[in-house]
Amino acid sequence: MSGQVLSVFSAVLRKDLRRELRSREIFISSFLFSVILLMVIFYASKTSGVQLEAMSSGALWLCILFSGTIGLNRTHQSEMVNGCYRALILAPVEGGWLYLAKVCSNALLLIVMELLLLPLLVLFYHTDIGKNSGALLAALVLGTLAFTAVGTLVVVITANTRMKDVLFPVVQLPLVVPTLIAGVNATEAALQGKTADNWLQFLVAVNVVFLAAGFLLYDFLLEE
Amino acid sequence: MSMKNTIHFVVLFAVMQMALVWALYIAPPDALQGHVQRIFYFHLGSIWPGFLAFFYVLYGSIRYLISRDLIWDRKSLVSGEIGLVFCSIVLTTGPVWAKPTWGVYWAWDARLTSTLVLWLVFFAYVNLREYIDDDSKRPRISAVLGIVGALMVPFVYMSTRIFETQHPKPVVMGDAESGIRHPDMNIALYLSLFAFTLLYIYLWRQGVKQMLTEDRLKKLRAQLLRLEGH
Amino acid sequence: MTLSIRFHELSKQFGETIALWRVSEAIEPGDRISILGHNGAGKSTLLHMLATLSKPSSGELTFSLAGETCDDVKKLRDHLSFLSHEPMLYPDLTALENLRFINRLYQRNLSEDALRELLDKVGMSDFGDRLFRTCSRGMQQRLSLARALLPQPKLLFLDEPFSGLDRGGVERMKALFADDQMSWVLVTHHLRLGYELANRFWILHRGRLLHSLQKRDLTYEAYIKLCEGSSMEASA
Repeated sequence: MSGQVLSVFSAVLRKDLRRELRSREIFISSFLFSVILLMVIFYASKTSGVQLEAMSSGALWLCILFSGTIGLNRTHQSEMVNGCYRALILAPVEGGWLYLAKVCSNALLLIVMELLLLPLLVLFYHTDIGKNSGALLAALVLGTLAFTAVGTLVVVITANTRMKDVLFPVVQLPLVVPTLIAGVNATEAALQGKTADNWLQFLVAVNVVFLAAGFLLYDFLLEE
Repeated sequence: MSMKNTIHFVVLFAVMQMALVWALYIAPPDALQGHVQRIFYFHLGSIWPGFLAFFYVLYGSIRYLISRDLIWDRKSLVSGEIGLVFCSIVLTTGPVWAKPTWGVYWAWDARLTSTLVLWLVFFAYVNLREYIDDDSKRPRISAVLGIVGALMVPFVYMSTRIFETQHPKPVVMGDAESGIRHPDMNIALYLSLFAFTLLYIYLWRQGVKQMLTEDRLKKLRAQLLRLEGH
Repeated sequence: MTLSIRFHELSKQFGETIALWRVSEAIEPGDRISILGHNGAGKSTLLHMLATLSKPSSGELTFSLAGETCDDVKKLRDHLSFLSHEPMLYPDLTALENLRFINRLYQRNLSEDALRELLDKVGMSDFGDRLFRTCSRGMQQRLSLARALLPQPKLLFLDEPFSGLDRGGVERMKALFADDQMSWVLVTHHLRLGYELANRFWILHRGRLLHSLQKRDLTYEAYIKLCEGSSMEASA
C-alpha cells in the first residue's frame, strides 16, 4: 500500500514539475511580478524614511504572498485546461496524497523563486543575507509551506465558484495573515543574525494543522 | 411562536434590560477613562458570541461533511451569519471607544487586527455560497472553507499576541481589563455576556427555522411546477 | 469481476431547475447503452452521476462489484473510465508522458511496450513523443481514447466521443467499442452510430426517462421516429 501511495505521490509531483519546467509560464510571470513589486515597494515607502535594509524582509514576504497567489491560481487553471482536473477526480487515488503532492510542487516552485529573489534583495535593498543563512532558509521554507498548504486547498474551493479569479485572493489572503506575520518576523530575525525560535515553532504548528486538515479535507473537494 | 420560544424571548428581554441598567447606571465609571469605558460591556459582549458562532461553524461543518445532512449546513450558515453581525458590532464599537481613550480610531493592536481578520474570514464563508450555482455542491464547498477558516482563528490570535510581546505597547493604550475592579462592574460584564449569549441562541434558532421553512417552500414550489407540467 | 449499477428515482437539481427527475434503471455487464435526447434532456447529467463525478440530489444509486454492493468510490473508480469531448490530457506533456502519468495514477504497471501498443491501437504510434498541445483536434481525441482504455475499465462512459474524429478515427473507435469485455454508456447526437453500436437505448426527454428499449425490439426506422419524437435534431 505504501509503495502505491508513494508512486501516486511522485507521479503527480513529477508531472507538475515537468509541466512547469517545460512551459515556465508560472515561474516567469511570478518572478517578473516580484521584481516589479520590489521596485514598487521601494518607491511606495521611500517617503516614510524607513531604512532600506529594514524593509527587505517585509518586501520579500509581500513578493511571496502576491506572486504565490498568482502562481497558485495559474497552476490550478492549467489543471482545468482540457478537463485534466476531471481526470484526477476520476482516478482511484486518495485525495490526501494528491493534495500533498500538489503542496510539494507548489511550494518547491515558490522556494526556487525566493532563492532567486535573494540576490535581488542584496542588489536593490543592500541586504546582508549571509548573517544567519540557516535560520533564513528555515523561515522561508516553513513559511512558504504554510502558505501553500492553505492556498492549495483554497484555490480548489474558489475554483468551484463563478468568480474564481477574483475570489481566490480575497479568500486566501486573510487566511495567510498569521503566516505572513510569522514569516516576516522570522526572516527579519534571521537577517539580523538571530534565530526567532518562537516564530519558527509557530510556523511548524501552522504547517502541522493545515497539512493534516488538507489531507483529510481534499477528498471532499474532489467531486463536481 | 412556540412556548419555548416565548420563554426564551422573555428571559432574553429581562436579562438585556438588567444588563443595560447595570452597565449604564449601577456600575461606577472607570477611574481613568470615565463613562466612555461603559461601551466595553457591549464590546466584549459581542465578541464572545462571535467566537461561539465561529466554533459552531467548525463543529457544524464537520458534522455536515460526515453526515451530508443539509440541516448541519443550514445550522452552520446561520451561525456564520450571526457571527458576522456580532463581529461587525465589535469593529464599530471598537473605534468609537478607541478615539477618546487612545486618541485614534484605529491602532494595529492585536485584538483589532485579529478581529478584522476574523471578520474577513466570516465574510468569505457566508458569501462564498452566493457564487456557487450547483445546490449539491454549495454546502460541501462552504463546509470545507468553514473548517479551514475556523482552524486559522487561533493562529490569528496567537500570531498577533506574540507579535505584541516583542514590541513596546503604545503609550496611549489603557488596558481595559485592569480597569474592572468594582464588583458592580463584574456584574454588569457577566450580565451583558449572558444577554448576548441568549441573543445569539435566540437569533440562531429563528434563523435555522427560517432557513428550513425556505427549503420546504422551494421543494413544494418545484413539486407544484412539476404537477403543472412545466 | 463484474460491475453493475442500479438506480432508483434518481433526481438532480441545479438551483430551481430540474435536470433529471426520478429516473430508474440498471446497467448490467455486457450492456452497451445509447442515451438519446435533445439538448438539455439530462443526458450528460445522468452520465456524470453514473461516473461518480457528481452526486444525485435525491434517489438511490447503487454500485455492485462482483455481486456485492460497493460504497467505496475509489474502488469503483478503478473500474470506470470516462471519455468526453474534453481530452483530459496535459497540453505541455507529450502523448507518451501523458499515458505514463495515467498508468501510474491507476497503478496499472503497463510496460513501455504496452503503452506504445496502445498508441498503435488508436493509430497514433508515430506521435508518441509529440507535445499534446501541438496535436490536431482529431489526434487529441484519439489520444484521449487511448487514455480512457489504458486502465482496462469494466465500464466506459462516453460523452460525444466522436467529435473532431475523421472517418478512420471513427472506424477505429467503433472497432474498440465492439470489445466484449467492456460495457459502455454512450451519449451522442450521431444517430446512426448510436444505433449501430448499442444494444440498449434510453430515451430522455426534459429530465425524464421516456423509453428504455432493447435493440431486438427496435428497427432503425422506429428508432429514428422515436428520436425525432423527442424533438431531436438529427445529425449525420
